[in-house]
Amino acid sequence: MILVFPVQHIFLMLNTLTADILELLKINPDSDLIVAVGNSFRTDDGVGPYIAQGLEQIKGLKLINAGYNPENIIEDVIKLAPQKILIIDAADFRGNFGQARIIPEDKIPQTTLSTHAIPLNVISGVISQSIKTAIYFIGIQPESVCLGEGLSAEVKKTADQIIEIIKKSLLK
Amino acid sequence: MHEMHVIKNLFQDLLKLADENNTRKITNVYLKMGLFTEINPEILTYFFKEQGKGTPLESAKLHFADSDMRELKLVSFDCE
Amino acid sequence: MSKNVKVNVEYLTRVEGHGNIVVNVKNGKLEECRLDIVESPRFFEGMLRGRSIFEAQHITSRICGICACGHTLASIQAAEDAIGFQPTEQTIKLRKLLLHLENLDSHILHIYLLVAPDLLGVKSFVPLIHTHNDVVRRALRMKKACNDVCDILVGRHVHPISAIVGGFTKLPKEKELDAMLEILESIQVDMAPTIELGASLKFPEFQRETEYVGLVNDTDEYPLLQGDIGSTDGLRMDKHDYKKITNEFIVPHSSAKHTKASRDSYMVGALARVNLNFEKLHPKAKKVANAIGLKPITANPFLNTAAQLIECIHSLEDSIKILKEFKNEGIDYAQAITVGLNENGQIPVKAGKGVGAVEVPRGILFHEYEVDNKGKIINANCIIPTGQNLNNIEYDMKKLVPEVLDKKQDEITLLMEMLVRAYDPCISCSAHFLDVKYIDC
Repeated sequence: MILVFPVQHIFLMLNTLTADILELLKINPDSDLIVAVGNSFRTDDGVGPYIAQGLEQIKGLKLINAGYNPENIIEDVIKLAPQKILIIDAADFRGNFGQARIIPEDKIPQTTLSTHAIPLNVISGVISQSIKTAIYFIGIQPESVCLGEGLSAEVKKTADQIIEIIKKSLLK
Repeated sequence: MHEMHVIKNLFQDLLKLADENNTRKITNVYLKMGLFTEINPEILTYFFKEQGKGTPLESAKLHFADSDMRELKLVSFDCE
Repeated sequence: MSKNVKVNVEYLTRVEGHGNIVVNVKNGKLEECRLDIVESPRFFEGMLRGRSIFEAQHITSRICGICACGHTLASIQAAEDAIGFQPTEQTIKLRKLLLHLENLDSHILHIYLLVAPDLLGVKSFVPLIHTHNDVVRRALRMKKACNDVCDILVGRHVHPISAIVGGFTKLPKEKELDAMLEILESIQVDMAPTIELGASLKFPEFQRETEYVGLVNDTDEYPLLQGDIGSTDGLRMDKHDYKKITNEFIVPHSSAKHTKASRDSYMVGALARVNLNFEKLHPKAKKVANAIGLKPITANPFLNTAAQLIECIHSLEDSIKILKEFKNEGIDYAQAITVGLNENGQIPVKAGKGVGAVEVPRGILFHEYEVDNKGKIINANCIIPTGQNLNNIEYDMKKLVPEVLDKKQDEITLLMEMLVRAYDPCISCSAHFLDVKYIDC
């Protein structure tokens, strides 16, 4: 499965983030929720938690670092009843390392080869059956998901950009 | 854990091939391994080392070539 | 002469299920029926060799992401037994709590996500999101509650950190005890509709009495962490003699090891435990068991799921009881210990052999270590419940298939899958990918 998305170069520094992603990253702290998913012990799979750490100091921002157990946040999310939920996770769509992409819900793999985890689309399904909300997935192409800590250079660059863009969107 | 039976299939196929080729010793195994196979070469090597004892694969050396595809391919092997 | 042989075979696209059921019926007569497990050996026994017993539990915990606490506890018990260390009463009680939480968590996931879809007539729990959203939410809510209590107790719900040889590195504070109690009491609320669901499920009719094996003891306690090995055939032996019943033999079609005790096969797990120790269950659990008609000896393996439900109530109620006792009696914080790899010789070590026998969600789990006088593992053996049940599942299938031969093939397939799933085997998360092969049908 190769998805073709138009890559629009905004400007040089942001060459991995397309306009549609930039639009999604405009966060209204009153009504929007950011959910970070991933395992920090699996190198680039930790990109979600890394972004969450970068954002956790911001007062008033609704943020959940779901780590490797996204199914455990369902009740908290439903309680918050956000209008928009932005789920950030590492995703292998065979893009360039560090590239970010909006993943349509039906393209999220239902099972993986190696985890006991409950698939993300099941989790989003339970949530959207329970509250009226719009759920978006942003996947970041990892370079490696082997055991280890820390992000690879390209993935870290994208993560830092996302943190900065969300921070700036909040300042407005 | 779930990668183990992929590795086991590969291992058993090699033993079968050794038999078909009437060989008692496989010296080199050439594999092509892509990204995101969720298979760790270290685990693969360990499996061959432990499970290979007393088989034609006992002293086989594994060679991994990179690939852009999500694949694990047995390309060829050397035998004596 | 060396030659190079070209092969070019791709392996990843050949990924298949972890289990195959093979049924061979000739002229309406069952010729062969077997369960192939294609799970591979993972060499944990080899990995343990040469490692310190003080790190063994962190290694063996990785055998399973669902039974991480069970493997940890069996590992610790075997290690302590080998070096002759006697844990304190407080430590034992905390370990019992940990074991309850894991059994509860695992049973709930099995009942709701793996068995309920079959009985509600859907392929997997995914379609339940739309038809039974509240049920899925309840299941995940209960699972999260178990995880959260585990987080507080041992630092992390998969692969626990603070449970070690010698005791616990960190003991729950007063307000953590309160937090755990509060969470468990929230599960009590969800337990009522869970019982209702369990009672409404219709299990297939099937009877085959077998030998039920599990821990037994002479106290009033439903044995999960400690005890002798016992069976419904009257077998009773010290846990150190476990090899007499597990006497593993290899069958050609499976890489897992098979076992037998007094008969051709035996069963371990929730149904075996309930059959063996019914009277010792918490009164609330017994009441529900009576209400849904589960009593010893129940010989329908499909009812293992019902037994799991009964155990859920027991584990929940007993966990709450343990926590309340800790709240009343207080915790002796001086017992918290940090051992590391025992570099400072905090725990006296001697050479020896030790066995851990613990009732984990799927049945009795054995770990055995032989250690040298420095606490290094010379030999390790680990026998998991699923391996012990495989033989029994095959005998069940051999009785079941002739009884249902008049049904349509896909109905037989579903029944066989449900039978395997009822045992909650380690492969159960992938058991929806079970391949049923019919030969000559």
